Amino acid sequence: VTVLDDHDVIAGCRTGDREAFRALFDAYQDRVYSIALRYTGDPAQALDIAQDVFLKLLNHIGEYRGLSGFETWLYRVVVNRCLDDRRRLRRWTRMFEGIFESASEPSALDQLLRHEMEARVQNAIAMLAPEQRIIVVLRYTEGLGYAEIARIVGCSEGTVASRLNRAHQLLKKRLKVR
Amino acid sequence: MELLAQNLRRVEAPEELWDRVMAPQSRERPRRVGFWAMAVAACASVAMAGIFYRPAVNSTDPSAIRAWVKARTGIEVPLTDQRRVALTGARVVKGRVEIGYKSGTVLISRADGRAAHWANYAVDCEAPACALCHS
Repeated sequence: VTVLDDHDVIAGCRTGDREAFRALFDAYQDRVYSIALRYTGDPAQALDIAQDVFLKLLNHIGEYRGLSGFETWLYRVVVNRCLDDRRRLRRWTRMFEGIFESASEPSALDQLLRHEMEARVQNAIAMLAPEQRIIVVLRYTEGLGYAEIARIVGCSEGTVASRLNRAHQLLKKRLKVR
Repeated sequence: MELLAQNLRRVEAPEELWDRVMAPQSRERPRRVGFWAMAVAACASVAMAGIFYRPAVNSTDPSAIRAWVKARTGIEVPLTDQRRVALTGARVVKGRVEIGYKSGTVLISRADGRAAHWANYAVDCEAPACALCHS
């Protein structure tokens, strides 16, 4: 995965250069979508969030002033959008939880078990408080350190550690992991 | 926790994401450009729907309307039986479902051609209609 801190690319985006934006999109699309998917557990909702994040990049990249790393700024945009989405869509997603028909993959047993475990983990994650959930996603989907998560979420490293620790306890209980 | 790292791993973004970002930004622009015009139009359409609405099925029973809509469109509309808003019936016009209630209609249409998941439908209603499904 390309790590972009190329000022030229960002400067290109600011001037409306489509190729520069495409480079930025290619470098970050999987990260943005993965965070949204792991946070919401819903591919359609994750796609909406990812779309909004890139639209914000496209239209408001001028708001990035270079004070923090671009990645940190982008993660912050994604996190805020996820937390905002929770407020707007909570009622609807709860109502229609049972209706979702996931397109299940072929029948190999290991795939089945993997999907089942993934679904169990995703369900357990969904039951965490949003502030805990986003930290778990940044930690395990993105592999970020406490300091980076603290910068993105806007809290201390100690808070990150305690939220993560609390989340671990809850997840162990829910997933019955020893 | 190894288990979390394995099951929350990064995934590939769907290919359609680029097209959605580059497509006309219909989800953002109307709110900015014509917010008041749209608000007026929405109020007018709800009012007109309330006056001219003629349901294909006349019923005040949520489960009957729910079953009727499901049978014709495959859309599961979770109408509840809590009677805060009186239902009058439903109809299907050009693939769009209209749930009628005493002072208006709720319009439901496919937002895209994918599977029957609620996120793929668009709903247009004003505040009292929320009580059709929410307690």
